[in-house]
Amino acid sequence: MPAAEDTDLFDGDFLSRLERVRLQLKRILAGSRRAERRSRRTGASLEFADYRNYVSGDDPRRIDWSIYGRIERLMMKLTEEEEDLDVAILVDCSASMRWRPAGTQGSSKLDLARQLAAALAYLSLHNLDRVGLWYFDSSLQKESGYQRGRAAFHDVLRFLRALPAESAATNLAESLGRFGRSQRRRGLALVLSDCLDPAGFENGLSAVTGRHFALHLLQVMDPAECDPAAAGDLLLRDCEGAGELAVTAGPGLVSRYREEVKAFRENIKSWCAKRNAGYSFILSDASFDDVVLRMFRRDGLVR
Amino acid sequence: MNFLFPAALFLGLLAPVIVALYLRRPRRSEMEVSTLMFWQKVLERQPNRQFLGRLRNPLSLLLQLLIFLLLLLALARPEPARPRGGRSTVIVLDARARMQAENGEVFRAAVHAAQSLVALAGPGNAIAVLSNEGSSQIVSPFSTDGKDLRGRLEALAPSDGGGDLDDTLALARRLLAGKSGEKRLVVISDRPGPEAADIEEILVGQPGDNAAILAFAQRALPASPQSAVVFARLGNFSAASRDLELELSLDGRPFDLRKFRVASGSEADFSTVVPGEMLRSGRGFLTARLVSPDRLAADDTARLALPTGQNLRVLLVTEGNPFLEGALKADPALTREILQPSAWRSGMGKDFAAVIFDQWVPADTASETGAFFFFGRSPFDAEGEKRPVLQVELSEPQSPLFWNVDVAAFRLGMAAKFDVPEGWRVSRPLENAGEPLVLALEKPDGTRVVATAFDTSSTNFPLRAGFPLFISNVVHWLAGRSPAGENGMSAGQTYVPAEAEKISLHPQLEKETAKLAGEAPSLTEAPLRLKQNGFYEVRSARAARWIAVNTASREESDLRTAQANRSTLFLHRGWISLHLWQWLALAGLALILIEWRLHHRRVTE
Repeated sequence: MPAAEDTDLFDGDFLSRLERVRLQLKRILAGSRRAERRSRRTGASLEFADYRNYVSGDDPRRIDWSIYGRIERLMMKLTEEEEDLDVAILVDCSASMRWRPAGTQGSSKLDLARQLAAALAYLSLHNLDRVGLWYFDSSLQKESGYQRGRAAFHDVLRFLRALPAESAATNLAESLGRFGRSQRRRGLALVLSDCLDPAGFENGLSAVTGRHFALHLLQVMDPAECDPAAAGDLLLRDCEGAGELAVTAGPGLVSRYREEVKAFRENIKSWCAKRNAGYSFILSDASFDDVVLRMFRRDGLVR
Repeated sequence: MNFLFPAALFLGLLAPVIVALYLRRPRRSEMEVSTLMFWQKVLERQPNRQFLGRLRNPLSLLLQLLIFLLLLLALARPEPARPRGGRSTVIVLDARARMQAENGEVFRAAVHAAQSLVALAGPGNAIAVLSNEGSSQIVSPFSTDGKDLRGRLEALAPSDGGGDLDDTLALARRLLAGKSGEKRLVVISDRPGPEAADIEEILVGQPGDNAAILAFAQRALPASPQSAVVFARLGNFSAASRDLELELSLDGRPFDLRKFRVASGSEADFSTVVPGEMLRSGRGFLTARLVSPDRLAADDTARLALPTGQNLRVLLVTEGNPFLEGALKADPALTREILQPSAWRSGMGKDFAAVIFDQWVPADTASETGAFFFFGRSPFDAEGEKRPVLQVELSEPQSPLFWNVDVAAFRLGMAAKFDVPEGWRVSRPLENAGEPLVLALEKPDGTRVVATAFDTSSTNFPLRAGFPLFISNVVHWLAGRSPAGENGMSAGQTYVPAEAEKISLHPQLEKETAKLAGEAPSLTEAPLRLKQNGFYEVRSARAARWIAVNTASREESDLRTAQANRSTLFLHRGWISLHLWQWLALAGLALILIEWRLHHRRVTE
């Protein structure tokens, strides 16, 4: 377990919750085994995959004699080959992820994203996968490098705790494109972002899936972004410096705003579905346990 | 255009303050958001809103200045320019009985129309209200106080009687003649009045069917004076024949119900006898009522005050006169007592309804109080020989003393000559060559005296059938009763009380008879316009009697002549008849709502 000196987002309470989540997941996922990732190849693992006819040169130890006893044919028992996995966790640390509604003291989207990144890294390391973390905003800001083993979780926490001092505007195409180009192995990319890129999210996410990475997007948004408490004559200022906009917010305008956000979410979800990518939508005020235990299972992020 | 309160215009100096306050309006609130892309898309899809938004601010200032201007003008109370002398309006409100139709709805509509007109009263527009309740009444003289005028209109009630509108119109024209400037004469009625160029009409009625009791009268039955013959006439003012049921009640208790089929536009007569036995107890209040209700209730009931059967005590002071004794005996309504002249004492007359002195005059008649009948000799006889009488003339045929008395065969030999006393109200119902043969005297204190210039020996009158009637009539008159009975009056007529007479201000209805005896009604000696149907009590010093008042008017009952709602006026509906300043205030209010809708609502929501 991590050391007790970890504070802030990753204090002892968080870590104990993380351990509890892992144990609960273990109970829920009874039957699954550590370090077992199905690969497309058959190999020496104990997980049954298929039967095929014996041919000359096959390892006679893998002949299933019980089948022979029943049908008097030599059949080879095939098992899945076990292989470790590169899990890349990319955390959006742009200004919009750090944004909080005026006058609120709660967690930002980035806070929740970092906690979720820690949880995902923790679970992956326990699966003996290789885990690497990245911060990005307008470009890739910081990289932890792939690590394996549970002991690496300390380095994960250290990385997540050390946020880049400055944050820029979101540029998914640039940052995720650079990530995609830098990867040589296939793996699983977990992207935690609000996807609020005025240039669009498609190019950035395509750069990840185009490199044969399996993608799971965790879109984190603040409730105030989905249902703003805006009313009256307002001068809206973009926290990423995209300018200002004068609006007179009435019920009608806010209603149309909500519809626009909903359409945006549906667009991302549809895009992910078409590309066989996973998608989770998370509100920043959601319970951490609820997100990990319920939402991740529902969205297929954990089995 | 005149301003009643021009000083309010100085408030216009505050307009720059509004502009300054507007310019100081707080700037937009700044709000940091995570992204503008959603807001931009929303606004891009609503270009018309953006256009309105650009216009909104200067429009808001314009509206606020306009609102300020309207309120300022409203405060200054502008009035359209009036002709010199202003406007004078006389409203003639028809308050005759037929305006009570439809349970008073017609009259209420008339009052409502009048109130819409008086709402325009104000400086430069004086309004007077007249009503026609049988006679012309000034409800309000010229006034500019709309509130006072409305209050007087609300207190108005229609009469139960008819009347002529011409007198009221003439009065209205006289009132307007004394005014300069613009003049208007507005008549509010249910039927068209006389066509005249200076009259504007508001008609509020609706034509309809109606049935009515047009006449209700009685007289004593000559063969049995204590019984009454009652006569009624029913009218059907409908487009079709109607079956009418007439209920007769005595002192509030029904005793007869008759059915009549009356053709459209026709009348049916009916008479019956009310026996004297029924009249002996009770107050003699006879009521006829049409059972089926119709559009006008006032003419469905008619009333009569029948003479009651209570006997009168009469004292006959005589040496013996079989004619007088027989005449008094013939009237069952009289209880006679006979006294020798020598037994007469001063003051005895107070206990009798009448005292008859037969050819004898007490020593001091001046000090006596009571009702006296001097037969043959009287204190008013002139000294000297009696005069011959050649011809008898009934100079006052309507005199109650000679009701039902035929004097055609009256022969008279010699008659005394009267010195007609002063200080009495004198009537001479029977004369000969200008000289009275019978004197009927009445003092202001109620003392009544009758004197004859003849006795039983000088005439054939005691042998005639009319003699007992004459004696009976005299006694009843002396007792304050009408021998012929009261046939009532029509609503709308004015009753002028006689000397020492008073009449109750308000009528009583037959169902209230039980409490009549114990109550002292409000009485007046002044002439009284009989506005409502019912029984009015008339009191004199010696007796009390009742007058029945009924509608009894074909013109009021015939509602077929009413006309549907129509007006020659443009401004008679309440919501239109607002003052100019009220319109300005309403416009200001409407602009406030528009401004709030366009601007303020968006800021505060």
